[in-house]
Amino acid sequence: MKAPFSAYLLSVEKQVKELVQNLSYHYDYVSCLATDCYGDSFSVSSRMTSVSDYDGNERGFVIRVYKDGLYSEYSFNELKDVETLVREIIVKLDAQLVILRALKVDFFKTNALDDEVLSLFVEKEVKELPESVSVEEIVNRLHAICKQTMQKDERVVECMAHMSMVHINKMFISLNRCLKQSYVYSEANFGVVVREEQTTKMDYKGFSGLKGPEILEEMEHGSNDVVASAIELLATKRVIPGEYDIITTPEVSGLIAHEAFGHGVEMDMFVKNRALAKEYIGKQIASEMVEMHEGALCAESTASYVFDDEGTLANDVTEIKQGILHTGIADALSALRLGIQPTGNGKRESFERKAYTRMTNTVFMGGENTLEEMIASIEHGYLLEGMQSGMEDPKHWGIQCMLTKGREIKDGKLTGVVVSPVILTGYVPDLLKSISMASKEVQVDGNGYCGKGYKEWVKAADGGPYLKAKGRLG
Amino acid sequence: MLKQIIDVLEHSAATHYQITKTTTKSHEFFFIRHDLDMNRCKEVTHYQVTVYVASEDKQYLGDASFEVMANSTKEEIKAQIDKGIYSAQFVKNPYFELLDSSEQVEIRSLENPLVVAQDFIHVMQTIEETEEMYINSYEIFVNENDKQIINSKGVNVTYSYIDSMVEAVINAKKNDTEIELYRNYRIGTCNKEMLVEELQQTMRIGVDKCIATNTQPLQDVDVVFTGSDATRLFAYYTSITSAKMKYQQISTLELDQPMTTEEIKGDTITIKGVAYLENSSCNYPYDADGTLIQDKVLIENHIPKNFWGNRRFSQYLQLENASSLYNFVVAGGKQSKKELLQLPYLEVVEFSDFQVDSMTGEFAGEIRLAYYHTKEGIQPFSGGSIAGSMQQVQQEMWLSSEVKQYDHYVIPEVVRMKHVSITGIE
Repeated sequence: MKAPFSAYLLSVEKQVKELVQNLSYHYDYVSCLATDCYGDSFSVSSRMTSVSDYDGNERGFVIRVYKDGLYSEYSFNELKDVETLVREIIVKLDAQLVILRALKVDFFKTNALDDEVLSLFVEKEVKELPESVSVEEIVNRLHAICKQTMQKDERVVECMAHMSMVHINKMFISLNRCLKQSYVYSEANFGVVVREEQTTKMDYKGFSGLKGPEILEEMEHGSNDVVASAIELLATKRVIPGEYDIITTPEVSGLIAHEAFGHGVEMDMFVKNRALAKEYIGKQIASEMVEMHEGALCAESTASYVFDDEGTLANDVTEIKQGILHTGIADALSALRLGIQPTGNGKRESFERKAYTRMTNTVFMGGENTLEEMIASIEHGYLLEGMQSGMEDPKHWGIQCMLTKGREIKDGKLTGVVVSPVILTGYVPDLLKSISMASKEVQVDGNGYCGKGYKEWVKAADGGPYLKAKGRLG
Repeated sequence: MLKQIIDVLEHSAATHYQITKTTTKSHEFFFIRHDLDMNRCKEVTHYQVTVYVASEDKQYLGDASFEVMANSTKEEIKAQIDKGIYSAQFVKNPYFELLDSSEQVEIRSLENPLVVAQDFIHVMQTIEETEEMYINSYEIFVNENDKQIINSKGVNVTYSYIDSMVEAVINAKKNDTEIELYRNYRIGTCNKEMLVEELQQTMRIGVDKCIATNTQPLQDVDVVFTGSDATRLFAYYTSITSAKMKYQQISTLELDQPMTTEEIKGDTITIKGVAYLENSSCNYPYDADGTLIQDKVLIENHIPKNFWGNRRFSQYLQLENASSLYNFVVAGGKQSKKELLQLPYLEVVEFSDFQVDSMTGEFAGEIRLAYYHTKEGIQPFSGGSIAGSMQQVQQEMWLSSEVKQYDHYVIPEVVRMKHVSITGIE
């Protein structure tokens, strides 16, 4: 069935068009992104239950205007009459210009965006709508998972089951464009806290996709091994720091794609001369077997959409092919400044925030090897699994990935020794050039959020196959 | 709109309710070098509603939280509240009493956010730059927030405050090498002296990063923190003293029982939560329940004295006079920073992202810049990482007597610790 487009946005469409029209008498370019995103979150632990809005719920508007080389924006969520809104927007933005003139601030002059005629209405397919399952059933099923988990081992002190479902509706209006999209996604995670004497550890598993409450069934089946995985952490050692042969699970491959590489080719960083990748376009930066794609169209995940928050259609960009860096990704303003086409990667945390170049799906393509072959090829190294976090470094191409565990491999076999936690550091081209094997199947996970520095949180997904490479572990 | 929401709630089946109305007006400026990339303005109002439904025997108090969107009609408001009440009946959390009060309180900020933004821009324009050290880009956010908390038991408090953020990227060049350092400052209003000092110091260490060599593999070398990343070490302690963590049995602390049975050879930890810290971005007079925030000692010489938290978890743990806390002060140690800095040590001034797990106390971070201090001199290092565990390092951790404020934390200026693993580049 289709995810029906927001009745609210349909009801205000005419008013928004009128607002854009009226503002266009004062500005040389005007657009409006209207959002209506709603959903619910359910959190259940052995001691607490919570039902609340999904964290990313929003209903509001952001106007973008352009005049004399400068882009300005105004975000609001109370839709007043058009005349009042036009006056307020002009007065408030002009008040800012007054102080900027007093401070003698120059503008980073930019041309006006193209506003090509385009009309689009897309309601994406979903198996079940969020409202098809009752709150009672969701809460009961999550409780059942937790109860079952608490009974599995006396070392389990807490378990947390969390699930969110959200219906995204966005409408982009300019003088020549009217774009509407509607889709549903869900994400869930299941965490277990274990304790033995003074040692406390936690592990978790994530689930996500362009789906509705059917994600519950995935949780019910997928939560069984989390207890064993958490208990394993109670007996882990610290890794002896050094450089090792590593095999990354698809989740970790994705983290590397996203953090170590992906942020480095966000081309708003090219505009600011903050990206080392700018000097490497057309050059070899990875082993010849590496191919990487990025775009809202290159996978079907929580990060997929039809058009971005600036009204640019989504894309599937080949960033790396045969180890050569071909291009990065760009929001509309960065693309304009660099003289290239935008790639549909202009995203906002919400209507309240500025749009930046942001990733969507960042994915290593698969190869021909099996995991068994990869393990057998290693004299001493680690199979790395469990994504915790990462941090970008576009200027220097450094890597920081925090991982849950590493399984020791010696003489082509898993030894049973597990090290935890693990920090993977290094230099991006060194790691990418060391990739020597890749499994066939690719997995994409959309359970995370991506920040720009420590703010502007947006949905992102990443993934890849199992990869064999060299990495510095600590 | 607020009156409409209250009216619907008063005639609903909810046992109790709480509404938090937050209006935010912001001014935002984005610069590439010192040229304006974009200017933004925002005015939004959010109505966050929580409905509570008590079981007949008052053993449980279920709740559901949601936002009533601006421009909602009365029918839409009623539909949302009814849905919330329906959901709340399946939430079987232990009963607790909401805060009650009959006094209406209003505290207003007098600052003009546009003037505050103007101050920030002016400060950034006056930072001394050279061809070797300069500002690459910066973003300024100034928010004027107006918050009103109302509940069905008579609480009605209103207060306003300004919070700001400055994000800056500093470039430094030496010979053919150019690097960048990223800074993010959250504060109340513009503190010119603090910003200028921080950014000028960042520029100076940026030049050092250009000439840094690979971090050597080091064994048994003490690690020293002299910057804001150390706040995360102490955030571990504020996390394990939270009532929520204690109630969930994730924190194993017991009041008046030492945090560790091991001998403390270094300085003990003393932390207090305070209602007010000058120019903090978190100077809220009331917490999210409408409780007046009061100062509280959380840990004293390594012994937990109080947990802190919202009304729900405070009642579950039978805490008296408790509230959420947002500002924290960590006491200094016995020695001055000069006395603490005995050679050799590795001083890490810049991480990619220094992380401390709030549950386990494990920490790690990739080194972007560190200084290795030895008798032979000071060598800047870059690359590699450090890793450790608060459980292990707290026995031999020393804190300077001098302290410094970083937004909502006051912490010792120097923190020195043993038993930290240093991964170098061979």
